[in-house]
Order: sequence, then structure tokens, then C-alpha cells
Amino acid sequence: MDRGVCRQYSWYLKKNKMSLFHLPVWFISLFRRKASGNSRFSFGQDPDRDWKVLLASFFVIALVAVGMSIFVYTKVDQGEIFLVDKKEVTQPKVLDRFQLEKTVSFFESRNEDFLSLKRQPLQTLDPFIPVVKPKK
Amino acid sequence: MLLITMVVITLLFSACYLFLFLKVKAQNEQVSSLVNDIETESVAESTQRSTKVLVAETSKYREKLKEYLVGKDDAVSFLEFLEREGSDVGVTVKIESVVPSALTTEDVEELRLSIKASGPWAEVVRYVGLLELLPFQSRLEQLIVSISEKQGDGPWSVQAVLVVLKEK
Repeated sequence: MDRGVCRQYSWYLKKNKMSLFHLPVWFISLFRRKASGNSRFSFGQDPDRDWKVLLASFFVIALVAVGMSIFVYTKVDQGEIFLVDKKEVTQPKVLDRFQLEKTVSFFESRNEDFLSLKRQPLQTLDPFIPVVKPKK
Repeated sequence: MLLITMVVITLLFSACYLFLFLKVKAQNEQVSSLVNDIETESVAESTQRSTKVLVAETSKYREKLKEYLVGKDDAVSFLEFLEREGSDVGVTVKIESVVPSALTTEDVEELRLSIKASGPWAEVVRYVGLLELLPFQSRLEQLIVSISEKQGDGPWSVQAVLVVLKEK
């Protein structure tokens, strides 16, 4: 930026007791200051002011561009933007080992019961044959 | 003139900036897509590896479990087994019908057996117990116990419907 403009700007800020945060206000005031008649913007009447407006505009645009670039760079670097959604992976049905062991153990115990019943006859009475009970 | 030049230059730079921005966006999306693909492949590979280990570890259990299904070509020997068990405990067994049941998957099917067994009470009850405890994936669906006046194979007879799982 031109040294004269910088000096003028800092003088303007000091005179109006403003800080850097007042830059947007000052920027808008540049357009409004010399508005006359129907035309609000009057380029060509005061070259000094026109230059200041141009420089200020480009300064603001450059600042926004740099800010945006830093923002985008940081986001891209951290992998936070421009990401593609993950595809949902369908998990195959995995064999449940615990269930398998439980099932095998169930059949083993059933097999033992089967063999035990085969070896040992049941103690059961024919319900058709009446049982004679001794009298008390 | 100077103003127009500056505007043109600004527009040019804006276009360049937009072009670069879109290029960065496209490249980043491509990288993200590739990273996702790698992650998916990595997950699939690790799942496959763990499944292989699981299959190897459970092979003995699966072999054992297979013994509790009626084999693919063992239907006849299973029927003979039922008759033999009946004669071992002292009942006369007659397999009246064998029909495939509703459940059929690509690996297994169900067989529905209608069994009639007759003999003395204790033996018939014992045989019913054996049917219940068969070392196969089976269940008793119906059981009708009756007594007859005729002295044929025995006074007591049982009509059972047994459903058993068979390999296809």
C-alpha cells in the first residue's frame, strides 16, 4: 500500500479515535463522503479519493482472499472438507463360536442320555395292569 | 483505462483462483474416495483373516456337529438305525412314511417320519425316550399311545411323528 495513504489512514483513525476494527466503517464512509445529487458514487471528480477507494477495495479483497485461502488450506490439510461419504460395508455373518460350542455340548449331553437310556431299562409299571396294594 | 485493466486482471485472478479451488476440491475428493476404499479393503481383509482363523479353530466342532445331522446319503441307514434301536429294546418298529418337511435351505432339509412301534409298556416307553434323545437334530412332533385287545407284537403301540434334519 502507498505510504502516503497509510499515513493518511492512520492520521484519520487517530483523529477520529478509531481502531483497526473501524476499517469497514471508514471504507463505507469513503463512498458516502462526497456523494452529491443523484449520484452516490462520483469517480473521476477527486483522483486522490478514487485511488484511496481502489486501494482500500483491493486491500479488502486481498485480505478476504488470503483469509479464505488460509481457511481452505487448513481445512484441506486437516482433512475436514471435500470428503466423500464412506460406503457402508456389509459385515458378513460371522460364525458364533460360543453358540457352536454350546450346540455341540448340547448334542454330546443328549448322546450320553441316549446311551444311558439304552443301557438301563426304565422302571415303569404298565398302567393297564392294576397294582395290588396290601391292606393296612 | 487503468481501472478496466485492474478489473480485468482481478477477474482473471478470480477465475484462476476458482479454477484452482475446484481443482483442489476434485483432487481432495478423489483422495478421500481412495482413502475410503483403502479403509474398506483393510476392514474386509482383516475380517477375512479373522474368519479364516475362526474357521480353522472351529473345524473340530463343525465336524462333530455334522455327525448329529443325517448325512446326505444316510437316510436309509438312519431308518435302519431306528428299527434296530427298536428291536434292541424289544419293540417292533415300522416306518410308515417318510416325507420332506417344510423347512428346506440350500444345505439342509427336514424329513418327517411317521413311526409305529408296538410292544410291552416298559419297552414302548423306553423306545419313545430313545426317540426323544436321539443323537441327531430331531424333534417329536406327535405321539399317540394306544392299547389294543389283539395280542400281536404287544398290547401297547405308539404312533409317533419324528422330524429330523438331513444334509442335502
